[in-house]
Amino acid sequence: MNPESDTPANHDEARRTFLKQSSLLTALALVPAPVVTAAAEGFDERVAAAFEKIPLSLKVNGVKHKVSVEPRATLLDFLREQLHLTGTKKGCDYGQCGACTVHVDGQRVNSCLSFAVMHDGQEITTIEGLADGDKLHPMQEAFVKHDGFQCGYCTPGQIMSAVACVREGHAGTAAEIQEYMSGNICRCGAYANIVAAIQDVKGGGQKV
Amino acid sequence: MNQFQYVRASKPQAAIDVVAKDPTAKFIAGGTNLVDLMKRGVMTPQKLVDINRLPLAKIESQHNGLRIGALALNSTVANDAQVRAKQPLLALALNAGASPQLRNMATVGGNMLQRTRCSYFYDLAMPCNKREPGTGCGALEGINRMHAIFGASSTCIAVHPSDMSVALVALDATVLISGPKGERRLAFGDFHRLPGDTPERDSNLEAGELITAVEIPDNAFTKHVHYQKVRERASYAFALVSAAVALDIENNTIKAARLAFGSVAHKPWRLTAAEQALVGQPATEASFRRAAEVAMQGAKAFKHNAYKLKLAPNTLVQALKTASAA
Amino acid sequence: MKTQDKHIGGSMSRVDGYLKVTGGARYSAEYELPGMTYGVLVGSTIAKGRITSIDTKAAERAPGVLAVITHLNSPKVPGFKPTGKDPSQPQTVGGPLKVFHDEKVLFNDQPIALVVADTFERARHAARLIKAQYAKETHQTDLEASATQAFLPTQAKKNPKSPMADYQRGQADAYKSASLKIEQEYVIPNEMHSPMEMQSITAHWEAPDRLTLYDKTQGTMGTRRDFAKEWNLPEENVKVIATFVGGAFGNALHSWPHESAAVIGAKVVNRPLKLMLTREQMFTMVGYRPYTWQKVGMSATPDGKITAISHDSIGQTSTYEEFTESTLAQTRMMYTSPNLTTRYRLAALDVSTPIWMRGPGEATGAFALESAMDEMAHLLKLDPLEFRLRNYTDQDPEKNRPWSTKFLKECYQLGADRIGWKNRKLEPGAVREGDWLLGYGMGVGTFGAHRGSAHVSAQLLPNGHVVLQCATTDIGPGTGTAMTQIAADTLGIDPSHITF
Repeated sequence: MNPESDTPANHDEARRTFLKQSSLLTALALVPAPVVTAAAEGFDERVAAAFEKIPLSLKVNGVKHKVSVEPRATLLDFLREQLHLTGTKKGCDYGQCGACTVHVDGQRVNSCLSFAVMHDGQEITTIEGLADGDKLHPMQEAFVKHDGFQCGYCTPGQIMSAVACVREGHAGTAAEIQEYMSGNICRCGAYANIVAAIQDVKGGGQKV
Repeated sequence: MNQFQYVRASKPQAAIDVVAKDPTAKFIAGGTNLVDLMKRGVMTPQKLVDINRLPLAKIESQHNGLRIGALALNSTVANDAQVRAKQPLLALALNAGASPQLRNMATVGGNMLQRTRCSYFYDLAMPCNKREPGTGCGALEGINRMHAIFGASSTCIAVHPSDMSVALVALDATVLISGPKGERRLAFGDFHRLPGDTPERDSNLEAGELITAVEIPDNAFTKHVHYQKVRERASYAFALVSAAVALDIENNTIKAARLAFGSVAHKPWRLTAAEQALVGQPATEASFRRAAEVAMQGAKAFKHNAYKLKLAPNTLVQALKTASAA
Repeated sequence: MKTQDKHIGGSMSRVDGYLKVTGGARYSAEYELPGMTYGVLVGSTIAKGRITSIDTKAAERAPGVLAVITHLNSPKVPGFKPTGKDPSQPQTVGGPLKVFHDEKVLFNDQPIALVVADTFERARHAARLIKAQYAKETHQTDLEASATQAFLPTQAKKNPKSPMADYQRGQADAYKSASLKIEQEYVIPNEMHSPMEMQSITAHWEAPDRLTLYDKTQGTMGTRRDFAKEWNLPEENVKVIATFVGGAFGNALHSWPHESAAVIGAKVVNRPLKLMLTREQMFTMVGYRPYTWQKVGMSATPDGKITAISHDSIGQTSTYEEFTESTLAQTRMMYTSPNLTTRYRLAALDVSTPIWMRGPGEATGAFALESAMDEMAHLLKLDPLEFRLRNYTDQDPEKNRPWSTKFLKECYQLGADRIGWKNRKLEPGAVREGDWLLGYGMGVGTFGAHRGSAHVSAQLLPNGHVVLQCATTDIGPGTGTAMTQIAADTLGIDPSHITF
């Protein structure tokens, strides 16, 4: 039924879930067709639960999480609704604004456009994980110093993107910064100050 | 979004078997298009096979060419030293697409398979033959400013939005495919389809087939190349029109040329006749304008996209000027 | 206590900066409440007509669904009493949309159902299972096609001194008989606010008669009033929290259907309910700057003295609510003209109601007026700045009163100096730089700087710190920081000891 999935962690857990699913499916397979359809359409709670959640093991801001997630949950909604890390914002939910930018294994991505379950075994960094305790990350400090925000809603995504932009080596000139930050929209219009903040960090040479 | 079964594949053949046997199953890699479409209810797979762990991401030089794994990320390919040295047009096209975040998620295969962004395709309340065959084409008499000027049919006037694909069709790439019936190769130009009577089919992939790699033969187009993307914003927007050009120039004479338009048709639009019109000609604006004229033969506009009839040839000329000056 | 202005007008890092850059600022969909439920709205797919049937069975049976609310089963909202004496009129004449009130559809994507479930994914899925059938009527959403039915707003009919009333000084449409004149039309399309934060609300009935809202609003007091009225509650029973607002630009200055829906949903399931609009819904149900069609006629003497201006404006509004804005206010007072006519009209279309958007009214009118000024200057072969100076008003021509202060001439001078206005060529398209045509242009904008009273409570703590509290909101301009600066200077206390 299901192809072998040899995910490194939770092998037993996965097997148990697989067996549970498969016996349920076998049970369904033996049931006359109309009843199966009704169940598939209406999906009562018991049946739904058997299909719904998948074990997920990942690190978020250095903290290991072993959870059960339904496949439909995007990484964004998982972070906000399940882990209650609301720093990452939903600005469009379609990958068109960048407010949901986080780092996955060090690379910046739009968390709204992938499912949480796809990130098993990976390390996620959100805005909440940038500061070192009470000590702000240089990029966070620069944003405050250069007033790189107004309403603040795009700000976490901007900062996560900005850190990655510098690390990628794409903060050489203002024009390059504008191009490589183009995946983050700001409707309050703080762009000029955001570029200034990034240039400040890049020029300052601090470890980013 | 409907519930779906989610499984992670570790072997290509297993992944292929699942999808081949189950018409409601789909592969998922980066997900940057599929997840979007699933949220809107445009695509409703009942099962997703996560292929991200398959060993299909390598970029390697081989005999007379470059082989790029289908799971290689757009950003990885664009930054790859071999790609930048041997096929700079591809790097330019990739970097013109989407945003840095999306390029870190999107794969080569996914980029090829991305679907049109036609707003009638996306709107479940609107007729769309691609989404629901037989319901009609909302764009035909609707707002069609982003739509096709080549190869359209009365069933569908959508365009393929990929930038990468425009470069790959210009560079005579080959698509490597693995399927239930084995391996096969397909010329890039034959991968995407015209809408015809079956706009629901974007490409010539068969059920269960998986793109495994793209091969680009070595060529002389390492210097005079340019990807010109015209859009309503300076960045992070789909093209109104784009042009990929590559020239081999010696003593100011064009020895060889590759030209293709993007966002003008259901597939990336190779301009073979215009290429031929350039060969042997001096690399001057006059030659470029003549080639652009040839390129536009057969173009047909709809109510809101007649501007493309002027924009496309101008974009091609601009790209050629930039490429030749490189 | 008056002290030297040390902080007012100076620069200060935003007091909420730390929270905003660390992800600690909480917006309306980010509060954790036990038993939280999720709401997803379903919108109509026609612009005008009636819902003849709505099938919610599959949605109700879907996993995790706690309630599906439509006009068929919505609890009676006390404040949605029928208005109007004419039973054939929609029950929503002259007021905000009453959500789930009846089967009538008044605009495309009008909320016709709310699904409440225990997770967002389950609510979103169930919403797709709802199927509505309609008796569709021909809709009208084309303003120019409806121009003949444009009407004078009710407030102008009732009060001839209203800013929306027709205005006349001198002779009506006097420009028509002049020899040097222009007559031009100017159209602006709908403009969406599109703030980064999609409208969100978390509604919590803490008791059957106590409502707490974490709401994206620009006016917590207004929202409180609206929902107290909607549910017949004393205002002190309604609490509205809007500590951080992710941009609004005007679209959170009105209570919208999704807020009413969330409050209804929370009451039905008796659990806190969180609802965040989709980005698509931000285009259909939270207002916008309305499509406006304007006509300007202007005449002047050969030496550039304006003799007459006529300015007509038709803006769109919904069929159930009259939205007005001061589109023509600038025209009445900006330039000297012995003859001046303004006429403001509305066209009721099958759309959702507009709302104030960044300089509402004047911005729209200024576009037309200032463009007309440029076109008139061009006809007169006069520099556009010089043309404006020749018609400078030293006192308000509409109210016949001197200005309290007016430094526009000084602004003109400063601006002209700074950008090298004297290099401007009269002839358009005269200056090229490579592929670019270069030019200089100008426009003037004005906006009412209305002032009213506000209430702030202040507490001086034993350690010398001050806590100030005020039911205001900050959508980004930095209200908290500005208030801290004012307090610091007024009280002579260091800003770091002040919490606003």
